Amino acid sequence: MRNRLLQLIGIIVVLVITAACTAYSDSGYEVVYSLESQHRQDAIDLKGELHEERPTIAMVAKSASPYFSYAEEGAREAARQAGIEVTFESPRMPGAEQQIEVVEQLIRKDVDVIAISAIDPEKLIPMLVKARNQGIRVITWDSDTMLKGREFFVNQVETEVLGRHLMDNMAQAMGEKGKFVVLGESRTDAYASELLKWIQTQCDENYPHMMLDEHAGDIKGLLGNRADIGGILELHSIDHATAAEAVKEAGQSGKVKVTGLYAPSMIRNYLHDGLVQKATLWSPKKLGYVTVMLANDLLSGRYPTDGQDVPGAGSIRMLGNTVIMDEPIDFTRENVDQYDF
Amino acid sequence: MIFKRMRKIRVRELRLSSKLAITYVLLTVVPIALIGLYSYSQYNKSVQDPLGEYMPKFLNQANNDIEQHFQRLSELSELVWRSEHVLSILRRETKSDRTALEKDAAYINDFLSETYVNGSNPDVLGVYVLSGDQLYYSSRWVFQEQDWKWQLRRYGGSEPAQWEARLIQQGEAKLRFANNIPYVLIKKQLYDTDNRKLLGSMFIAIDLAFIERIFRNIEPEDEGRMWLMSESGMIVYHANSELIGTVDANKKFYPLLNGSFRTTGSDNPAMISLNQSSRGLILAHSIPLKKLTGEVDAAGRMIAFALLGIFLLTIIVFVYFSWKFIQPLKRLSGMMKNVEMGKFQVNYDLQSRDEIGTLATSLNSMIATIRDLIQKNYQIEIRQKEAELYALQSQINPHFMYNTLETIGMAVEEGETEAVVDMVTLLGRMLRFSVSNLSRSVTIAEEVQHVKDYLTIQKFRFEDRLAFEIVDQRAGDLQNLYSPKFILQPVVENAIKHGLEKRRKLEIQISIGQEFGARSGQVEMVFRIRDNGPGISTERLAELEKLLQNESFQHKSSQFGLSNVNARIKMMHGSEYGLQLHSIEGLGTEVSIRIPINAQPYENEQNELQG
Repeated sequence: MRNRLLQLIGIIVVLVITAACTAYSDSGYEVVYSLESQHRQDAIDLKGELHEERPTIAMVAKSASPYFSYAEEGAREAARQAGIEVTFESPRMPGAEQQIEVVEQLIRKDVDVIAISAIDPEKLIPMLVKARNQGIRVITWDSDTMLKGREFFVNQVETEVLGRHLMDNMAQAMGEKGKFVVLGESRTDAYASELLKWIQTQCDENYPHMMLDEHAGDIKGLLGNRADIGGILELHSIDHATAAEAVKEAGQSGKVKVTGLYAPSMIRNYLHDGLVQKATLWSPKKLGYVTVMLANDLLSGRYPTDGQDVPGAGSIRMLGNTVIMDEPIDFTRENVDQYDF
Repeated sequence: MIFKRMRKIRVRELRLSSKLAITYVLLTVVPIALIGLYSYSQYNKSVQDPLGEYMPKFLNQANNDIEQHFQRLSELSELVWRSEHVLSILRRETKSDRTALEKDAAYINDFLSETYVNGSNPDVLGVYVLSGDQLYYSSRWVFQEQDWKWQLRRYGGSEPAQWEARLIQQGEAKLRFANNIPYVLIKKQLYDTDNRKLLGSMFIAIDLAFIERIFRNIEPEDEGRMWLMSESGMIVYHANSELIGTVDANKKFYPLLNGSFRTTGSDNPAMISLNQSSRGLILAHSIPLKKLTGEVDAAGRMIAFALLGIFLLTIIVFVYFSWKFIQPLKRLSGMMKNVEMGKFQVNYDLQSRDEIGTLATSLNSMIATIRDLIQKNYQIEIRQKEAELYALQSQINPHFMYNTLETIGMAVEEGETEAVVDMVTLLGRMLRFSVSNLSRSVTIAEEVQHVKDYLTIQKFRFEDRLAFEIVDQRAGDLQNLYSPKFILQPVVENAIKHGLEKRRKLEIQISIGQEFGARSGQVEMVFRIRDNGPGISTERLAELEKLLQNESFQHKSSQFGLSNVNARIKMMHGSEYGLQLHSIEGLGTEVSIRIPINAQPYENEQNELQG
């Protein structure tokens, strides 16, 4: 009888101990607290879906020039990076009408983003508005339009900074005194006239012995007639060293200083020959690259922010709804060979 | 079902002490043990769980700090762009002659030394730039490995553009500094954003001492173990520097990478907290549960000992009380066995006043009562038998027979035929009364008739010397009332015996009446036998009364007759009945016999006793 009782007690004790122990030793790890969230997983999934869609970004240039070819190069690189489609369009003939046609075609193709370097800030507006109404995101690069035509503008260099910088370079070349002229299509090109405004401002504020002279007509005629012109600042075309050629022809190499916006690959020889003292530009490759990257961000719902780091291009600044990509790059005889655009 | 029934039977069959023990265990030991275990585990949890909750948050903070630190250090690579000359050398594609190359290398090495190694950041141990075939470098320490340049070049390959800085762990690089200082290489591609070209890669060797500082913030004393590892489980930094570069083999088994868990399987259970940064670095903290719950364990051990002590104490108390409780019961049951076997001479001596004491007391008194009752019945039976035997002997007293027969003989001689016939008839009736009726009681009429017959025979013998009178004061029917048999004759015999010794003429008066008895409190039957004999002296009377009070029966007494009658009546009816003596010396004696009024014969009672 007593044995049976002991058995009973023994069974109870064993049951209690095993019950207490099973709470501890079922698996090797017992999770106490978890901060594991689903967000990261969701984000990856979302990105994966976007990849499948392969959005198309259409870059519209002003013309088929080397400058825009380099921009296309940068855009293609960005497309590879981001895994998206990029089409690069340029009007057969330079002109707002031709560009409008290109935009119209892109609307018909139903691309996702149109990034345009606008020839005319106003004429393009109706067509761009039409594109936006169809759900196409529109941004501008290189040359801006009016505000309602686009969401934001990717500006290569802040216009004020560039204008003042160009003036500084001109002044440095001329020893801060004398008369100079600006070559550029200021009446038709809004960007050039904006630059001109800042060149004038910088000249007035900082260089009392210098004077921006009005000029009319042919540059060759000008060099022949006006012996008091000590410098030419060319905004005319970055792919043509019109002023340098004119100076060379006039035999005034070194006497009349030439600076301006030039692509390094084009101006290289002029710099080495001493016809051009200093050229200024930005990297068109980088511009194309940054534009596509930011367009892709826009499709993902990210608007560019001030100080944002664009992978592979460094940080950008924001001024209102304008992106400032870079600082101006100066090309001299010494460093021009480092650049391949 | 069967089991249940079996168990039921078993429980019912269990002894009281076993039942008490089970009850005690179920009510005390089991609940206390359960509560103890439960509260211990809960207490443990309450100590461990908060750590498991806040530690991942700390780790997250620390991991962010580490990431930020790496981020800041990787941004150092941007300093290269500040030097136009360095840039122009790096951008140069066409091969220069050897002298120019060495000049360029010297320039860049100086730049690196000035900008990085001797720059503002003390965490930089060295910086290495791979550009094309060239390796430019500057470092505080040299690598132990001779072929370190070749090793490093493996990472310089023309891989696709990669904007993010990449961490190359010591274990991955398989390079060690001369002083074994723990480090990590931050690899950052030098990408010419303007030309969109890869110029080369920069490797910045970072002293990991700053991680130690961050660890110390979390854990000032080096108690737990903290380490930083990559996603693959390779340890980037460990408080124990020997483990840097090894792989945490358990990493792939960890149930999560952000949070805390307990390892329960291993010999040395620990609480491990992890945090994974956005870039994949996993910061881990592990602390043995023993360390964590050391105080709790001590408290738990103390509680366990205390509980054990309480168990032992209560078991002792329990055993003592159950023994105190069971022991009297055992003695009681032993005693009952004795009683069962007929031994009534037991006395259970128990001092306690509790229920068992009361029970024992009642049992004691019950046994005493039983003993007394048996004794009494036994005695009554014996006395009854003795009294009856005596009565029977007295009835056929040979002396009386002889005297009577002699008187009859004399009467025959004198020719008194009538008297002879009367005497013989009387004698015959007396003998029939004695012999025929064996019952203890007779009607009063028969008893009176018998004594009348006796006196009449004696009257024949003593003639004028004896006179008697029987008065029935009740003047009722005596046929329906009963009295014990043979109670009057011994008294009358006694009166004649003593009276005729001293008196010339003896008168005897017998009266039968009913009176209220002071002692019984009821109306009772009273016989009075009065004589004018010599009487009894006062001393003798007191002696006799004492004798009668005694109830017991003396054989050899001279007053055997009286005492026998008295004893029989008392035995049958109780002490309030019996004989009373009144005597005045020289004048006479009166004997009163008191019996209850009885309308039933005593046969039943006698049968019971006989049975």
